[in-house]
Amino acid sequence: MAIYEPLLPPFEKVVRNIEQVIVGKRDVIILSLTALLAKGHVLLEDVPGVGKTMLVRALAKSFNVELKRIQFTPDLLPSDVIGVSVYNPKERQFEYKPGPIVAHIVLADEINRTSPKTQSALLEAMEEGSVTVDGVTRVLPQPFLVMATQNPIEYEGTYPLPEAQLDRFLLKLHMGYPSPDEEIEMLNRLEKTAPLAEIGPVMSLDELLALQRKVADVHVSDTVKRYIVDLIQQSRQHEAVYLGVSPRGSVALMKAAQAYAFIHGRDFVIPDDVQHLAPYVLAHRLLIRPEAKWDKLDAEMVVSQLVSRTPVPVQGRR
Amino acid sequence: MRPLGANMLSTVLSNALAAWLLTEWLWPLEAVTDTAHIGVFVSFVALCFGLHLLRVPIWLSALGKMVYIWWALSRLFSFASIAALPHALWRDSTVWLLGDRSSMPGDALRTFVFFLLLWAVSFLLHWLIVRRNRWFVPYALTVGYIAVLDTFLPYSGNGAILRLVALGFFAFVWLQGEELQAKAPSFRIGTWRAAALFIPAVALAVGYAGPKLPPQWPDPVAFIRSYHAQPEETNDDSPSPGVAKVGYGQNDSRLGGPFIADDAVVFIAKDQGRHYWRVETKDIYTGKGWEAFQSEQVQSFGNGELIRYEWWSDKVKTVEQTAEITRQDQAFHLVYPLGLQQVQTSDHIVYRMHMATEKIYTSDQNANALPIRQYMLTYMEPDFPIEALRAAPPVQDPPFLKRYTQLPETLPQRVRELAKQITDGKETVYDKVKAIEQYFHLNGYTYETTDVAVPGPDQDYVDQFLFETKQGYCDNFSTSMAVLVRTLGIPARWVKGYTSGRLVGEQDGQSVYEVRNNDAHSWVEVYFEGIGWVPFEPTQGFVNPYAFSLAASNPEEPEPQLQPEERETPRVPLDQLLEQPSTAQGEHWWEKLADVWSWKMGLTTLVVLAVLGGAAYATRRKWWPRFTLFRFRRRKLDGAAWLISAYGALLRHLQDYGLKRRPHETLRQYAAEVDRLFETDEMNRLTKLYERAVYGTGIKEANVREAVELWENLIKRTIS
Repeated sequence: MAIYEPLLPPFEKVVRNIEQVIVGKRDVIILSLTALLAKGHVLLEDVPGVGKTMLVRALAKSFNVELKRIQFTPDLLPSDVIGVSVYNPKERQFEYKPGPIVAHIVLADEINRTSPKTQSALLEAMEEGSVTVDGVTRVLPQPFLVMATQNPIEYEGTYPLPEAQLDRFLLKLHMGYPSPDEEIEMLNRLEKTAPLAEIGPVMSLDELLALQRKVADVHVSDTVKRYIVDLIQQSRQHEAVYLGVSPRGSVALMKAAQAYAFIHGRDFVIPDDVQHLAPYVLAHRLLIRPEAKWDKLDAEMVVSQLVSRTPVPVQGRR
Repeated sequence: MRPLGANMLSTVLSNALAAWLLTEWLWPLEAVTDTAHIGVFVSFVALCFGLHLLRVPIWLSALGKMVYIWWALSRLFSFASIAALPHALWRDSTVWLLGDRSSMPGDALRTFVFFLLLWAVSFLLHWLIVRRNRWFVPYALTVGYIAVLDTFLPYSGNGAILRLVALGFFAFVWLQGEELQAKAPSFRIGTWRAAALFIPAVALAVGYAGPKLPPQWPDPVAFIRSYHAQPEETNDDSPSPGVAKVGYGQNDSRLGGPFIADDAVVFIAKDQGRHYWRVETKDIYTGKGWEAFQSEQVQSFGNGELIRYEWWSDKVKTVEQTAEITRQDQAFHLVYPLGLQQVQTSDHIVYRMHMATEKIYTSDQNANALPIRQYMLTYMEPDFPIEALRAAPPVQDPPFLKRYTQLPETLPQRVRELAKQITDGKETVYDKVKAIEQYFHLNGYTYETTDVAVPGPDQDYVDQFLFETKQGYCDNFSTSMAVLVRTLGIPARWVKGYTSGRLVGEQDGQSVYEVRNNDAHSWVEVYFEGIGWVPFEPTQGFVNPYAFSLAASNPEEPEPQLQPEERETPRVPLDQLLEQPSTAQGEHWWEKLADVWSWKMGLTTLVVLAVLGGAAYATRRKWWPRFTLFRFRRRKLDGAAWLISAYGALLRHLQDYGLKRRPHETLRQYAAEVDRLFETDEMNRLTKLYERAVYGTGIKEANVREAVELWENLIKRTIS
C-alpha cells in the first residue's frame, strides 16, 4: 500500500511494538487498532496457531491494560461471562462478582463453541458496553475491545453465530499464514527468547482514550458518504446476495473509515479508506445465496465485485 | 452534474447545435414577418451560447448581454446618445401601460423585450440540451414549426428542412455514441463520431442530388381553402369584403378590407437607382374607390423608340438611367419608372400607352395583346427642386382642374374642413401638399393590413379612414391624401404600381431587386404648374424614394432625403425602426453572404469545415492542453474551487492522452499509474491536495500555489 501515508507517530510506535511479536501482519495490526479506535470489536476467523492470541496479548501489553480470556465451551453459562451476584452473609446482601467480560480487552476464544444463550450474553455486552446482573446495569470500562476468534474449519459441535450477531462485529479479519521468509524470521525470534515477555507498554490508557475521542472529528464529506451509501446499495442489489448490508453496516463502514483515516494522520476520509475497509466491514454482513457457492463465489469476492462496480466520486457535488 | 469523462468537444458541439436550433426559429421570421436585421438577433443567440460555453460567471455574462442589447438597440434605432435608450424604453412602456393596450407597444421596447425573450429561450435550451441532454422535444418543435410555416405561409423551408435533418441525424448519432461509451468503456467513440459526421453528410448529399418523386399528397392548403371557399383575389369583378391577397389588382372601384401577404415574386429588376415602379394612374374618385378616366387617346411606340411624353419641365434636374425587368409571370403591360424614355425587348412588340391612365400595354402590330417577359428600360431619374416647387403658382387651366380636382358630391364636409385645418398658415401649394403628406405621420394613423374596414353603403372610404378607423394600408393613405389635396383645388391623381422591392444582390454593377406581390403599392402625384407631376408618399412607414433638393443657401428647411432611411416593406412595425443609417442601401454583410450562398457552396463549406474539424480533432493534443492552461490561468476563483475544476480538466486531458481512469479506481490509485508513466510524483502530490479540497474541509492558500505549479507541469506533460 504505497499510496498510503505513514501512520501517526503514536500508532506507528504501537504497531512496531506488536510487530516484534507478530511477523508480517502489519495490516492486521493496523486494522485491530482501527477497531479499537472506532470503539468496535473484531472477529478473527482463522485456523489455530497463526497467532491470534499472540496478537491480542501484544495489543493489551502495548497499552498496559488487562487482558481477560474466555475460552468458550459448550457448557459455558452466561454468568460465567458477565459475572454473578453472590450473597454475602456478613453484609447480608448480594454482591456482584464481575465476570471476565469486565476488562479493557477481552479475548473470546472459539466463540462458536458455546451455546447461543452464552453467545448472546457476550454480544449484548459488546453492543451495549455494559452488563446487567440482577437488574443492576454496570458500565464496562473504556476502551473496551472484544476480539473473538472462530475456527472456520471445524464445524462439528459448533453453534455458528447467527447473522444478526455477526453484525455486532465491526471488522472480521483473517490472520493468514506467514510467508516462508516471515516464518523463518519468526523461528529466529522464538529460538531463544519469548518476545512477548520482552515487550512493554508504549501508550497509556489516557492517551488512547484521548485519541479515541478525536476520531469523531474526522471529516466525512457528502461525496464520500454518498460513495459509502452507493456501495451498500449495490450490496442489496447484487445477484449473488440473499440479504444485503444493513444500515448498521453503513454506519460501521463510516466509523471504521474515520478511524482508519485518523490512524494515517488525515482529518478527512477519502474513498481509498472506504475501499480498503469494505471487505473487512462488509463481508460478514452479507448473506450469500447458497447457489452462488457453485460459482465459487464467497462473501469476500462479492465485496470486491461491489467495489469494482461502484464508481468512485472524484468531484464534489455541484 | 456532468460526468467528468464527458469531454470538451461534446460540450462545444451541444452548445453549437442548441444555438443552431434556436437560429432556425429566427431565420423564417425574415420571410414571414419581414423582420429585417435577423443577423443582429442571430448574433445575440451566438453570443448567449458562446458565454455559456466559456462558463463565464453569471454576472459577467449578464453584463455582456446587456451591453450587446444596448449596442444593438442604439444602432438599430439610431439613438444619439447611450442615455437615449432607457429614455425611449421608459417612454414606450409608459405609453403602452397607460395608453391603449390593445395596440402593440413601441418599437424600441418591443425589440428590447424580444432580446430578453431570446435570452430566456437560449437559457432554457442550454439547460435542456447541454445540461440535461434532452434533445427531442426542442428538435421536434422546430421541425413542426418549419413544416407549418412552409405549408401555410409563403415561406420556403427547403434549406431549413435539409439543415434540420442533418442536425437531427448528427445529434442523435452523437448522443447514442455517448451512451454506448458509458456502457462499455472500450467503445471506440472516435470512429463512431467520424461516422456521425460522415454518414448523414453522404446521405444528404445523395438525397439532395438524386431524382425525387413528385409530391405524393395533394397540397393540404389548397384543400383547406377550397373547403372554406374563401374568395382570395381582388381581380374578379365583384370584390367581396373578405380577406384579399395582396397584389396588383385591376379593379379599384371598391377599396378597403384586409389582405394577407403573398410572397410570390412578380418581377426581378436590375437597376442603378431605387424608385417606385408605376403601372397606371387613376383620377376619378367615387367615394368608394378609384375609376379610370375614359379616353381613347393612345400613343404607340416601338422597340427603342423615344416616348413623346414630357414628364417634367426642364426645371427638374434628371439623370439618365437604365433598368432591366424580368417578369416572373405573364403580363400584357409594363412596369416602368417615372421619367420613362424608351423600352427595348427582343420581340417585335408595339407599346401602347393609354394617355388617360399612363398604362402601357404590349401588343403585336395588329394590336393583339402579346405577353412580355424581359425588357430594358431607359429613364430619367428626377431630382425635384424644392424652391421651384414652392414658387409654382396655383393651376389655372379649367378643364385640367376639373378633371384632377374631381370629387363626389357625397364627400362629407368635414373632409374639406380637415384639409383647410391641416394647411392653415401654409402659403405655397408645395407647403400645403407637404403638410397633408406629413399629417398622416403625426396624428395616430397606423399601418395595418389585417384589421382594415370596408366602408358601409352610405359611408365615404376616405372619411371613414380619416375620422374613424385611422388604420389601413397604402390605398387608405394615398386615396385620402389625393382627396384632401383635391379639396384645396390642387390637381392630384392616384398612382398604382410597386415599391422598389427587396435588394437581393448585385450584378454587373447594378442592384438586383426582387419585387413581390407584397410590394404592390399606391401613392399620390400632385401637379405643379410649370413643373409637372410630382410623386408624394403619405403612407405611414414608407418614405418617398424620389429626390427633392434644396439649394445650399437654405439649409434649415427639412428635406425628405434626409429622413433616416428608406423603407420598402414595413408590414411589421418591428422592422420599421430596425434601421441602420450607416448602411443606407441595406447592404449588410449577411445579405452579401446570402447572395453568394448556394447549395454547392454550402456543401463545399461543409466539407471544408469537416476537414478543418477533423484536423483540429486529430491535433487536439497539441493545442487543447495549451488552451486549458490559458483558460485556467485567467480564472480567478478561490483556491478550492479553482483546484476542483482545474483537476477535472486535467483528468479529461489525461484521459485524452490515453490514461483512462476506470470508474471504480480511486484518485490515488490512478495518480500512482500516472506517476509511473511520467516517472514523477507530481500527480500523487497534486491528488493529495485535491483530496483535501474535494473530500476534506478545504485547502490553504499556500497549498494552492503548489497545486497550480503541479497542475501546470502535468498539463504540459499531456501535450504531445
